[in-house]
Amino acid sequence: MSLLEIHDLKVHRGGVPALRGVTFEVDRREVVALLGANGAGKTTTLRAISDLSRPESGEIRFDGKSIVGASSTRVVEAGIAHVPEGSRIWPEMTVVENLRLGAYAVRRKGSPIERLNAVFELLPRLAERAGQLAGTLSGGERQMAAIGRALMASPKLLLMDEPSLGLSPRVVDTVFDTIQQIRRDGVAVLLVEQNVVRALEIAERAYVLEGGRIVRQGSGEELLDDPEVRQAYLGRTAGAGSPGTEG
Amino acid sequence: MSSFTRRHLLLGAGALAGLALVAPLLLANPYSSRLAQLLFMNILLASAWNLVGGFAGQISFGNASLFGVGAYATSMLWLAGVHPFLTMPAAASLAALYGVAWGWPCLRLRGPYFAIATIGVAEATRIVANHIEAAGGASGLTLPLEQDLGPVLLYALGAVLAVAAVLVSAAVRRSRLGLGLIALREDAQAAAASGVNVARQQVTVFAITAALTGLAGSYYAVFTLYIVPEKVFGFDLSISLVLMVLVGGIGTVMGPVLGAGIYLFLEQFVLASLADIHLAAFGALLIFIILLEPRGAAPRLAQLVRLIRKRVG
Repeated sequence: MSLLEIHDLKVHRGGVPALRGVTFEVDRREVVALLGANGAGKTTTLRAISDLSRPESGEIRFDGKSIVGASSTRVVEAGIAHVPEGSRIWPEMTVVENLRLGAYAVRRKGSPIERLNAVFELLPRLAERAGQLAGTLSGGERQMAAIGRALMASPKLLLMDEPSLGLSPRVVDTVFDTIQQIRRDGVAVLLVEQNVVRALEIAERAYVLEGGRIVRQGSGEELLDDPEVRQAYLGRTAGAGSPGTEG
Repeated sequence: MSSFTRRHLLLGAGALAGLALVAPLLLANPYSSRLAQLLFMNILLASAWNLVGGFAGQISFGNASLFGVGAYATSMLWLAGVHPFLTMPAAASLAALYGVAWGWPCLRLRGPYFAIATIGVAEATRIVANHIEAAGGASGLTLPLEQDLGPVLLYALGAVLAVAAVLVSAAVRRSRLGLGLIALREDAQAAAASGVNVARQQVTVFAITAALTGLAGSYYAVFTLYIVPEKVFGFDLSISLVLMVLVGGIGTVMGPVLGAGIYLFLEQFVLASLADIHLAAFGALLIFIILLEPRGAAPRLAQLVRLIRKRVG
């Protein structure tokens, strides 16, 4: 049994079908990338999992239990944390307050101070900035704060929506290093990422979405070598590994 | 991560000590004593209003209904022979009960819908209070003048209540629930993504608001010794709270304190000479604040303090 099993998921957004029957799974301790053009349904998939949008039909099972229609608080409690696109931290609150809010739904899961220390160990930059207002952080630090906030819920699965968007190349490196470290710590990651090459390099497996359907799947390496994927997302001559234009 | 630190208690004790030091100055004559009482009452009221209005972003124009309940509870119990100090817990509890009774349904609404509902509740309360003969009807209640607590005791009582309200406000601001409410107000989507779902728990905070507002009403009855429905349930009172908090800085702990002082100053020294256009002048002030300085005086003051610290240190 996989950690996350999604079967024939259909979601409408504003009356228009955004997902037309998506089936995939994420195993424990694996990084799975979800690729596709703008509007292909990547964010919609993540939002359906954390109950930010309701599915029309289909099944989402986590740890063997159905979580369709469970409130977002329940979803976090069950062990799924979401790092939304654009970090969405609370700028008027301190870094520590932001992190505390990540643990809001999981009061009963052990000491929040232990978790805070674990997050600071993984993301030492946040420890330095702990008392600062989150609005004064740099873009990379904000992304780290958003990741730290999600980890405060002690998740088994982390949903990450475009974590490298708008960051400088060096910071992107840090973000991807962090994702690998999170996996080593035993957390599975479902990664939506426009930086296709980097995503496929660290992902065990990947799915390609197009028009609300999965059109391709395979291991990260297979998809990196797939001529059609290369053409669609990396440009014909993208041997040098430059990121694609998919946004 | 305790929400209430030793530092807060020390600051509270320091504030009380400071207020004790300036007491002789403020108790110099009946007028300055009254100003101090009004200031303490305003701080209590504005801090209470800010818990739901500032932290949860639910603007109430109906807090007079809670103030009035506190004022009447204390007055009626006092007239029945209970010592005024002992009436205060009853006043706070009754106001909290009444607050929960109407806050429960009304807080399901958000934004302007909540605001309008609160006006309705408060006005209905005022009209009903005017017709309860057992509570003196429209002519109100006069309290036993000969049992007046005296300026020193009233000053001490007010100071304790005001400092306690600010400490409660600081504790709520740092509590799990307070953070959750601010998170929801600032970014509902990020709150949902983090599993923060506190819309229903607003009622808990509103109960605290109501209890403190009831205490303010109780204190008012004890120092004025005369209450009428038109005053203690009046719409003017509800509006003045919104003004105080907006002037001082909505959603901050010290903003309501600052606003309570600024409001008292304006009311006593500037607007007293404009009695006829009193409300119009306040309306103009409100528009001015919202257009030019929607975050109030507190953030500016904090800026100034930082600047001075930099220069000095």
